[in-house]
Amino acid sequence: MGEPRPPEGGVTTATPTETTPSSGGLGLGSAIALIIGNVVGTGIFLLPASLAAFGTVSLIAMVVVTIGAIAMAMVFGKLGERIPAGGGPYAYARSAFGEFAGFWNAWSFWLTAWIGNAAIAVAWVGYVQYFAQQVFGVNWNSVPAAIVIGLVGLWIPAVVNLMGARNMAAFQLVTTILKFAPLLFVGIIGLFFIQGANFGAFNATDGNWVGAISMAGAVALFIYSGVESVSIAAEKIRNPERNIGRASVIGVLACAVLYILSTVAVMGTVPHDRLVNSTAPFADALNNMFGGSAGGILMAACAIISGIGALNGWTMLVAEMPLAAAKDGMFPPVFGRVSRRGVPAAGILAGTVLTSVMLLVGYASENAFNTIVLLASFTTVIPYFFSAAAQIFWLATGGRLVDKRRLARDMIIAVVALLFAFWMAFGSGAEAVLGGTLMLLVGVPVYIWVKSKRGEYGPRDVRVS
Amino acid sequence: MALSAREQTVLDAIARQLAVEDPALVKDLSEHGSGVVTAERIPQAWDAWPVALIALCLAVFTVVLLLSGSPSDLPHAVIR
Repeated sequence: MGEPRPPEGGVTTATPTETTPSSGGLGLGSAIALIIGNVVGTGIFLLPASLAAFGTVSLIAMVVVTIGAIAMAMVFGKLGERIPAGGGPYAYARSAFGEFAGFWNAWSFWLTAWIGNAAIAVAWVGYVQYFAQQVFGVNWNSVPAAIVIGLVGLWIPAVVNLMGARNMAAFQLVTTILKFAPLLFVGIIGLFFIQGANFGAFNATDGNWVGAISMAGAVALFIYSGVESVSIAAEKIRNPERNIGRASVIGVLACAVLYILSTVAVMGTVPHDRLVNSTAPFADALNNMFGGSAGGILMAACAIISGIGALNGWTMLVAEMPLAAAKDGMFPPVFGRVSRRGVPAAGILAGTVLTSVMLLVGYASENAFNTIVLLASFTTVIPYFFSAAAQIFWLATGGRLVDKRRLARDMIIAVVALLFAFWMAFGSGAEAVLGGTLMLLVGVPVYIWVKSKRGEYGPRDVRVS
Repeated sequence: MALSAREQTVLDAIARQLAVEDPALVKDLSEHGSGVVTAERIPQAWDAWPVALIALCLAVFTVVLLLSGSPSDLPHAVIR
């Protein structure tokens, strides 16, 4: 393999980034909590109702999506072993395809993280309002009250993150246990209350079952968003070469068990016609199992904990990815500054301010909010696709002695992950692809700006040996 | 590609001159050639077939997805 030839006239170069492993403070347990906490946000509380519209065929779609997500987690594990550097997908894409691809991944993920947080916050406000009404009898349904609640929900995790990674991890661990246990309880105990008649038709759509799987799959595709969390926070993880892979796979498997059991339990305990129109399927399931009407309050409490836990984890990521990119000169330098507590304070503050603005947009114009949030579904996919492609790139081009069976196995896993990411891109819908692509293009002048500020007029050598 | 007699002579002269001027450098350089001789295999045209197959699979998958109809936009609550 020959050395790259510098372009005519020469280029200004800088030292390649060190990608040596760093020793972080979060162990395997915290890493798993980060995955579960970020994957299980507020979406799960409506998932059974969203899927019921397609019939029980949606359970097959869920299994297919789960296989793709597990493949994605395994790819992140392999990549984390190879490059245990902060920024995860950013570092992988940069190393495999060059610095512009790396920048685009960082840009794409950064958009996804703070826009997505606004989606969690708005859903979270709804659960807080319901809980306050039912438990304390207070009405916080006015727009100003909703904005204040939303801002509180965004800034509590920001303050926790600013207090250091260990505080963030402790908060994440507690909220993950508190959200996971009740949902798993519904999933397991609910199995004993299942009635066959509740399930409804296998295919509840007008089309054939293949189309129904495809449509249900499109809804289920994003339930594992957050599988990349530990790879992005690699610098905070202890023994990242080993723990990124283990945490990603264990985290996704735990979420898969939770999702599948709870969806089956809710579908089997709530009559299909009622479930399709339900705005609180888990509460309905609990009420059907044990009678009374306390299910709504219990599930609202669970959703409040789940939402703030997810916001806590994503607030960390909203700053970790730009931190990694800024260290390499691929993002504005302010994102690379670390506070005395060892956290990227400017990145956390910038991300939370932007999410707060999004929240205000949400209460000013629901349409504008929905459009912006939608594009975050497409930008989610970019880091997944490039990570799977980076793994294929290294498997295909690696000039080393390899075990052919292992190579074939790794290649199949990477291809499944690539197809999964591709399906996600399609499943995000035409409007999301349009908006997401435009936002990616907005990143190009940002890249030019960052490069010109550093006086760099050509690519840097970013290969990793 | 073999060197011509003239090229061989010039290289020999350079090597002799270098040996006189800096024997330590010549010793260091000569050690690069010690040990088992290995050569990188030149990739053949057909070595890249698995990646070409992946590209083909992706193209077929694209057609299948497009023919299956366009998905409706997601409710934003499902994204997280």
